[in-house]
Amino acid sequence: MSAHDAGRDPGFVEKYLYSTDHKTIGLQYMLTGMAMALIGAFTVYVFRMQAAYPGSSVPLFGRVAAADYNYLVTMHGTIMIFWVAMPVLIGGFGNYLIPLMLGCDDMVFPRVNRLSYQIFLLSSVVLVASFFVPGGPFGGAWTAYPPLSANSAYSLTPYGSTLWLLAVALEFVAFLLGGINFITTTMNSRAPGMKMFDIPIVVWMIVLASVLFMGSVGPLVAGAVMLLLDQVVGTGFYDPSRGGDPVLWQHLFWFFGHPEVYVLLLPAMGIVAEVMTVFARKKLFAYRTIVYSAVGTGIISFFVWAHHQFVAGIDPRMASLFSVTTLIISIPVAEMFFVYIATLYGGSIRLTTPMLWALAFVAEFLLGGVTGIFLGSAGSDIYFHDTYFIVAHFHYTFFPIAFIAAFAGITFWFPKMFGRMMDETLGKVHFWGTIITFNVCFLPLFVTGTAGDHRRVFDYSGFAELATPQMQNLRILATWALLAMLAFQVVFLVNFVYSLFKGEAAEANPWKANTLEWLASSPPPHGNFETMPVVYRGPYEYSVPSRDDDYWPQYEPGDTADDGAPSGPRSVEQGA
Amino acid sequence: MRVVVATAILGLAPRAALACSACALAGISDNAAAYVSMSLVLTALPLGMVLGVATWLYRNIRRADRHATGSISS
Amino acid sequence: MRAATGRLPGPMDATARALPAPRREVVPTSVLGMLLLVGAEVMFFAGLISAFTITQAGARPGTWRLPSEPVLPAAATAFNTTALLASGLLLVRAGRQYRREPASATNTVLLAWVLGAVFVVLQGREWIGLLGQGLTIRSSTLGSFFYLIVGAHGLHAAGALVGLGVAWWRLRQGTLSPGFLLGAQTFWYFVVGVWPVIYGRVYF
Ligand code: HEM
Ligand SMILES: [Cu+2]
Repeated sequence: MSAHDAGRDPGFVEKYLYSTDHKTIGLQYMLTGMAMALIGAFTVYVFRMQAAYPGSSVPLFGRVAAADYNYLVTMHGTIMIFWVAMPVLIGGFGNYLIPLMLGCDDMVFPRVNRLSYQIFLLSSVVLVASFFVPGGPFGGAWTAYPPLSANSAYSLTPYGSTLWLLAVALEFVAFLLGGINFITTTMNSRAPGMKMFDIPIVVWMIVLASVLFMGSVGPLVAGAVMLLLDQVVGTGFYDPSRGGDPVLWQHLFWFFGHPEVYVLLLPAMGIVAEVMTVFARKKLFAYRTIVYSAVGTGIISFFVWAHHQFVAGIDPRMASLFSVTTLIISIPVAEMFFVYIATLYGGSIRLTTPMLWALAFVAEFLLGGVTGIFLGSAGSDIYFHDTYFIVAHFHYTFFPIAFIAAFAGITFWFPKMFGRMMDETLGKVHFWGTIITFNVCFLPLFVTGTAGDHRRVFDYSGFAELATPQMQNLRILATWALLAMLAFQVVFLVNFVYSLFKGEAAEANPWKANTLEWLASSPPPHGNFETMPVVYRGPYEYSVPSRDDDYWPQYEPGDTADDGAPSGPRSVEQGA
Repeated sequence: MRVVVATAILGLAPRAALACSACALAGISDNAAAYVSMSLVLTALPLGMVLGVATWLYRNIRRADRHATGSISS
Repeated sequence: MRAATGRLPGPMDATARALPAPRREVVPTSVLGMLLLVGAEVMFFAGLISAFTITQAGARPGTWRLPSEPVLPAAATAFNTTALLASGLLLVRAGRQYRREPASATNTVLLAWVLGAVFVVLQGREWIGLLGQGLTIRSSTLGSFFYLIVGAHGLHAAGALVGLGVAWWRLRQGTLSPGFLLGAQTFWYFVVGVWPVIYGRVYF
C-alpha cells in the first residue's frame, strides 16, 4: 500500500514518470490530453483555412491537397474525442479526483493504473507516428467506414489506416483498465461513513461513464479486429464482393459510438455540478434525481445508436423505433439540466471563472441537445445528415463537454492540483474570448448546413451544384472566429504556466467547499491525507440555516444533516 | 376508435405502412431478422450483466452501510 | 431540522484512523475488478458472434461453406469441449477445498490446469489439420470467422492458463492470496463459459 512509504523521497523518475500515485497519473493524462489538443487545434486551423480560402497556401502548412484535407479532418475528430476529451475528463479528472473525493490514499489497483497510462501514452505515440509514414495518416473520417477504411487500394494509406486502428484499440485498452480501477475503488475504498448517496456527483458520473464504456466497447473492439484483419491479412469481413457486410461495421461502431457521447457527457455534468453548488452556495437541488437520471440516460443510450444510420439503408421500421428512443433519451438529460437550473435558483451566486464556465456549459449544451432532437427524427435527419448542421450540432455538444466543462474543472481544481490560485482576470478574458468566438464560429454552420452545405468537402470545384457561393462569407466568418478562438487559448496557456510558478499560494480549501479533496493540503502529499478522513454527511450541505458558516464539510464531525435523523456523528468504528 | 382500427390493421399488415416499396417487397429477409435479433442481444447483454453486478453490489453495500449508524443526508 | 451544535472541532478528529486508509471491501476487490474485465470481454465475444450471425444470414445461398471439402470437425471438438467443461467443474471444487483447507486444493487446481491445457493443445492440433487441408483465414468468410473467433478464444484460454498456473505454483509455495485465486477462477469460468456458445454457433 502506497501510504507506507509516504515519508521516503522518491526520485524524479519514480515521482513523475513511473509513478503509481493516482494524482501523478491523473496529471499525466491531463497534460498528455492538452498536448494532443494542440495537434487537434493545428489540424482544424489548416482545414478551416482551406474551407474559407480554397486553394490558397496556408501559413505553416502550405497548399492543402485533397488527401491532406481528408486526413486533417479525420485526425481532428479522432484526436479531439479519443485523445483530448477522454484523457482530460476521464483519465485526468477521474484519476485525480476519485481517491481524493472518496477519502482514500490511492486506487485499489495502482499498478494497473500506471499500466493504463503507459498504454495510453503508447497509443498517442502510435497515432502521432502515423503522421510520418509513407502514404500519410488515415483519411477515412473518424468513423472509419469500410470499404474505404478496409482496403488500402481505396484509402491510399496502407500504413496510416492500420496505425490509426492500432492506436484506437490501444486507447480503448487503456480506458478499460482505468475504468476497472474507478469502479472498484469507488465501491471498496470509500472513507468510513461515506454511503452511496454521500459520494460526490462527479465521482458517480465518472463511474457511470466507465460502466457505459465497458459495456459498449467490446463489440467495437471485435469490429476493429475484423477491420484490422481485412487491412493486414486480406480477409473479407467487410467486403461485399467476398460475402462480407460493410454496414455491419456501422452497427458495431455506433453501438459504441452513441454510448461514448454519454461517456463524455456524464463526467462533464459531474464537474459542473461540483462547481455550481460551491459557487451558488446551495445544496444540489435533487441529488438522487441526478443519479437516477444519469443511470436512465446510460440505459437508454444503448437503444439509440442507429440514429446515426438513418440514411444507411436500414429498415424504416427500425428507423422509426430509433427515432422514438432518441427522443426519449432527451428526457433524462433535460431532467438533469432542470435540476441544475433549480440549484442556481435563489443561490448566492459568485461569478468566479470556474462558475462562468459551468454556467456557459449549461447554456451552450442546451443548443446542442435541442438540435439533436431534429437529427433524431428520421424524417428531418435524412435531409440534415452529413451537412454542416451535424457539425454544428455535435460541436455544440462536444465543445461544452471537452473544453467548457474541462476549463471549469481545471480552473476549479487548479489550486488543489498545484497549490496556487489561477489569475482571475486572465481567466475571465480567456472565458469571454472563448465563448464569444465559439458561438460566432458555429452558429453560421447551422445556417450553411440548413442550406444543404455538405461536410467533408475539400473544395467545390468538383461539385458545382453543392457550391452555394452565397454562403462563402459565412464560412470565412466561421474560420476567422476559429482563429480568434485559438488565439484566446494562448491566454489560458499563459495563465496556466504563470500561475503554476507565480500564482498566489492556495490554502487547503480556498473555495470553502465541502468535499473531501479540500481537506488534503494543496497540493496533496503522497498518500493524500495526514489523517484519513471520516465522513459525516452528504457533499452538498451549503447554507444550512442553523449554521454560522455557509458550508459544512463532509469531514467535519458533528450533527448529521438536517433531516431530523438521530443525533451524533455516524458511528465510525464499524465502518471499516 | 378509428385510431384503434388503423393501428390494428397496420399492426397486422405492417407492409401497408411502409413508404419504401423496395423494403416492402423485400419483406423480412434473414439478414434483417439477424440484424434485429443481434441488436437485441447486444443491447440486452450489457444491461443484464450490469444489472446483475449492480444487484450483487447493492446487497453487499446495504449490508456494509447498515453498520454505519445515522441517516443518509442527501 | 436539528439545532445547531455550533462550531465544531477541526477535521483532525480523534476517532479518525491513522494510515493506511481503511478499506471497506463491500465485495472482494479482485473479483469485482475481474468481473468488470470479464463483462467487457463477454461483449467482445458477443460482438464477434453477432457479426458471424449477421454475415451468415446475409450470405448468398451456397456461399456459406468452406472452400474445399472439409467441414468443421464438430464431433472431434466435442471431446475438447468436454475436457474444458470438466476443467471448469474441477476448479469449482478446488475453490471449495481451498476455503476449507488451502493446501488440499493443490492437486485439483493442477488437474484443472492440465485439462485446460489439453483443450488448448487439441484445438491447436485441429487448426494444424485444417490448415493442412488448405483452409486459411482468407479462403472463405466462414473460414475467416472460424479462425478469428476460435483463435480469440484460444488466446484467452492460453492467457487464463498462465494465470491459473501461477495460482497453482503459489499454492504449492504457500504464498497464494485468496484474491489472486478468486481472480484467476473468475477469468477461467469466463473462458469455460463462452466456449459452448462459440462451439454451438460456429461449428454447426
Ligand atoms: C439529447 C441528446 C442528443 C441527441 C438527440 C442527438 C442526436 C444525434 C443524431 C440523430 C445524430 C446523427 C445525425 C446524422 O449523422 O445524420 C447525431 C450526431 C452526432 N452527435 Fe448527437 N445527439 C445528442 C447528444 C449528443 C452528445 C451529448 C454528443 C457528444 C458528446 C453528441 C455528438 C454527436 C456527434 C459526434 C455526432 C456526429 C457523428 C458523425 O457522424 O460524425 N450528440 N446526434
Ligand atoms: Cu448518437
